Amino acid sequence: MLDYAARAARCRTQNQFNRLHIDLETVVSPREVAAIRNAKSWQDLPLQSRVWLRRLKTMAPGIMDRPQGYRRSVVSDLVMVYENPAVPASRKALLVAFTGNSGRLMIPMPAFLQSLDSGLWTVVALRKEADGSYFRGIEGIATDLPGIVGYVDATFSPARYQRVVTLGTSGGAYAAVAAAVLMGADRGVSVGGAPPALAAGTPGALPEIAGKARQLDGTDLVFVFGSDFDPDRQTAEALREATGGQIHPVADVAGHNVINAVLQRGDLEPFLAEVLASDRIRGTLRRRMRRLLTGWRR
Amino acid sequence: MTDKIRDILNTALQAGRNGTRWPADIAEAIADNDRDVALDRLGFDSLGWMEFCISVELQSGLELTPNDIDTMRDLAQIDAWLRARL
Repeated sequence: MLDYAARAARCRTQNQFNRLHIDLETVVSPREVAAIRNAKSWQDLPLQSRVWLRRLKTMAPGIMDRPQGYRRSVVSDLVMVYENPAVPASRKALLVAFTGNSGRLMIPMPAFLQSLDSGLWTVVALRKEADGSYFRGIEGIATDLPGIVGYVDATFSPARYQRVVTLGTSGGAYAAVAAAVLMGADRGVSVGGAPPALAAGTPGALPEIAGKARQLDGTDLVFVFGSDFDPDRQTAEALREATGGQIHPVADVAGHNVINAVLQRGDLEPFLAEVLASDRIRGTLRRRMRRLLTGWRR
Repeated sequence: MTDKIRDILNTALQAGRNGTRWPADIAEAIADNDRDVALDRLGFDSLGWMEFCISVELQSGLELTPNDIDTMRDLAQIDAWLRARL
C-alpha cells in the first residue's frame, strides 16, 4: 500500500523529493494522487509535496475531486494494470501501453489516465529498463516481443474486451506497433517512434512486421508525430510506406513530446479518443483468424 | 578536473540521458570529456535534468538542483560548481 506520508518524511533534499515524485509519477493512478492530497490537510503537507500535487492538478484539472476510477494492480515491477472494477471487460477496450525509456507515456501516468475514461478502458502498462529493448523481452516475463504478446494474451485475456489497442511512446512506440501486428489488435499506435536497429531475423524487426502488416485485415497502424518536428515526421512517413499504415501529424507541435504538447493545450482527452478509437468492432473469431495469418506463436 | 568529478559528471549525464541517443557530435564530445558543450544541446527535458541532479547528489552528496542548472550554460560551469565544493 502506498504510504506517501512516510516516504515524504524521509526526504531531506529537493532531489530526494524529486526521486520520490518521479518514481510515483510512473505508476500511481488518479485515485492514488487524490488520496495523497486528501490524507492530510494542505498545510500539513511538506512544501515540496504541495508543489508536486499542484503541478499534477494543473496537468489534470479534475484529478483531485473527480479522479478516474482506475484501480492499480501491481503484476510486477514492470507491469501495472489499471482497471475500473465496476465495469465489466466486455463493455470496455484493452489498451496495452509500451512506455518509453522513462517508464512513461511521455507524461506522468496519472495525468495520462485522467484523460482516458476508466469506464471504457482497461490499461496494461508495460515498462522496460531505460537502455533495454522490448525486442529483448521484459525481465521476468518474456525474452522477446512475441513472448510479451503471448504473456499479454495469457494473462489479460484480450478476447474478453470489445477492442484491443496497443500504444507506445518514444522508446516503446515501434514495439507497440509491432505487437499490434503480432497479436492482431484492432489498432497499434506509435507516438514518436522509430524502428530500432535489430539483427536480421529478430522477431518484430521492420521487414517482418511490414510484410505481415500488409497482409492483415482489421489492424490499423497509426504513426503520430509533431507536425513541425522533422525527425519524427520523416520516420513516421517511412513507417507508413513500409506498413501501409497511416500518419497522424499533430499540428503546431515542434518537438518530440507530442503527448505533453497536447496536454498543455488541454486537448489530451479528445486526442486520445481520436487516436485510440477503432472504427471497426472486433470479433473473437476474426481475431483468431488473424493470429493464424500472422503466424503468431505462443 | 579530477577523475572523480569527471566520473560524477559522466554518470550523471547517462542518468539524464535515460536511454535516449545523442547526436554523434555530442556523444563524441562527451566521450572526449569536452566540457564546452552547451547544456541545451544535451536535449534533456525537465525529467532528464532531475535525473541528472539526483545522480550528482547520490554520487557526491552535493545538492545540485534543476534550479541551479537553470543558471548555467555549459558542462564547464557544472564542472566548476562541483570542483568548488568537492
